[in-house]
Amino acid sequence: MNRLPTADIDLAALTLFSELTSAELDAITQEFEEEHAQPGTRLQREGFAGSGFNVIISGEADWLVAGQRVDRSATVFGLPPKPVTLRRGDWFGELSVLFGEPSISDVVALTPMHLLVLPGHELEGFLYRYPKVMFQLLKGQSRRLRDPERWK
Amino acid sequence: MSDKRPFPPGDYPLVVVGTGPGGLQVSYGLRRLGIEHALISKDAGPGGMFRRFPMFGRLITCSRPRAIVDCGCPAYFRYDWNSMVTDEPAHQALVTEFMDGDNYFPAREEMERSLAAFADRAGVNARYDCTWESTLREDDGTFVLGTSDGEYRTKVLVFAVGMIEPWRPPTPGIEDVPHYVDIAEREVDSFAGKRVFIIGKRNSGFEIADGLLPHACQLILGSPHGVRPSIATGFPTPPRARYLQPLEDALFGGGTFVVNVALERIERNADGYRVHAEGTTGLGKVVFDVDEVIACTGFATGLGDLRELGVQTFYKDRLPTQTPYWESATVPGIYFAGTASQGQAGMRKHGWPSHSASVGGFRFNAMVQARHIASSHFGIEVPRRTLDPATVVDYLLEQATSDAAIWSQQSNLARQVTFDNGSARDDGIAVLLDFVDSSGPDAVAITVETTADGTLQPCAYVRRDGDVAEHEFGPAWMNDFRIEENQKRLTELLAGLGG
Repeated sequence: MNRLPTADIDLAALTLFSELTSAELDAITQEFEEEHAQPGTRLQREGFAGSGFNVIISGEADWLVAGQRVDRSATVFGLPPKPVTLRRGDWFGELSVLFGEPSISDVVALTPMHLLVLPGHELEGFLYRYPKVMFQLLKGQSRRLRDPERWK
Repeated sequence: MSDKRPFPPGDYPLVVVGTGPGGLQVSYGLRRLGIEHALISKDAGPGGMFRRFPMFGRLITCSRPRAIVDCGCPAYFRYDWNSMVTDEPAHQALVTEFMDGDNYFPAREEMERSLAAFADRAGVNARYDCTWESTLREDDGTFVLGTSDGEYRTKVLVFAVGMIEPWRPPTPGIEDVPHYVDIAEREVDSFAGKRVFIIGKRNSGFEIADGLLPHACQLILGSPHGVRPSIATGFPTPPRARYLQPLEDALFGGGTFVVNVALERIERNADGYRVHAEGTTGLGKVVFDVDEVIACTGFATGLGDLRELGVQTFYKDRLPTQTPYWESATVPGIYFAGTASQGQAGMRKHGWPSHSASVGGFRFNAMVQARHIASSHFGIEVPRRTLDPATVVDYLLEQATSDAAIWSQQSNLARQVTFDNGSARDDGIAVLLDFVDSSGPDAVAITVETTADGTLQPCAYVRRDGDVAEHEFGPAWMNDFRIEENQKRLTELLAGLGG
């Protein structure tokens, strides 16, 4: 059976949503759209506006800048570029949404993927409605800044 | 008596299953390109879901009898979301021909009659009362379709089987609750004076609520998330304005309640139902005692045994995963048309979803898909029109202003022009997802997009030396983008393309 495991998404197991009640999790599944991707699919496009906020349910993706695999934290610290892979529980797209700017990177599926996608303009309202998610997102961003190696 | 139906079982280059608008449109497109194929349907006649639905009689998509452009010209399809797309005047804009003029939303019967007229006048013949029952794939890639009439063998399959199988979430007790599709035959008077809980706040839920307003004494629409109607999001897929009277009734305290709750369980008792729930935006737990419950919880694609063949699904097993041309992502040679084509979600620019859940969007998918199938499976290329390079800018802006495919499938379909050695060629309507992620010669694809603040504007994607760059244009009065500022900017962007 080639069924992506969407009927059994365990959102509570994802750090981003781990503090929510079951009723809140039910509501969240209706806020996001589900998306699938095959290997090689571009999930985010460098230089393009209007992208969304994405949460990876399963699968892996490359994060690339100018076609190069780059550790996002390394760009902050000016460290040498290192490959980075996005995995289950990771999220992407939040920076271009929060800054209101075109994406600065490509994200390309390495494996079959299953994602949740929120339209970019809905992210702010979503985070205000679910401050526990906002706090987890803040912790995640802080972790990426503190320890470029650890979040990979 | 001999069977005079067309397309008896046997070998065909291609088989289309389904005679709703998706199947009729793709069959029409294939036939125009000279692709021999069989069209089969379990129904007794054309129309698909419109032979039964929508429940309360009128569509949510409009067909404007009088528009700013002539009825029947290509630009008119922008104002008529329901007619099949054709390039022959005798088959165009058929829906309005059957409308009685009282409403710009066609009645179900009017839609069904127009589809039958289209099949008849355009010569889209089908073998009706022929039910697809099983699917096999042989080692050489041949598909064997078992039907109630016998076996069909083919290398290419297009399924346009609709999305009308009832889908329910795993809430305890919901299995005893009738689904939207289960109450189609029920007399509306049977809800008179009843308290009705409707699970779901999408179009089907609001359609039922709107239809029951004059009958039920109390209506409760419940689901975990709040209502985001189309007039708030700017998207065509959320609850449409036409069904929002129950929402206004709830706001004015008129006996309707629209509640944000997660359902815990549903119990049947002698008096009706007890719906146990918890508020998702506060107020804690709650129990609703009602006479009736209706599950308007969505629909699934009728995939039959395709999963066993390897067709991958997502969206809680309701949609097949698809390539940009609506081919199964996991079983090459199997395509999907009609409402199932929404499994290809498009670019999602500014959150805008594909408009493939309704006729207004997927009819254009079907024409693009037919062209793709003709090229990739049968080596038949549609002749491309050569353009005078000096006219390309005006042509693209005119297309952005009026082309119905672009307007119906914003940021998903686009007009593509390719440049080579000083010449320009009109490549027709392209799938934008494919254009921006493919290499190829210098080219431009123009579409229309709606930004987060509701601004409608053209967007040009320019491919130069293999790299595609996005160029958003601003809005224009009356959405007429043929303005000097745009002409100047687009001229600059296209300069030097094609060497």
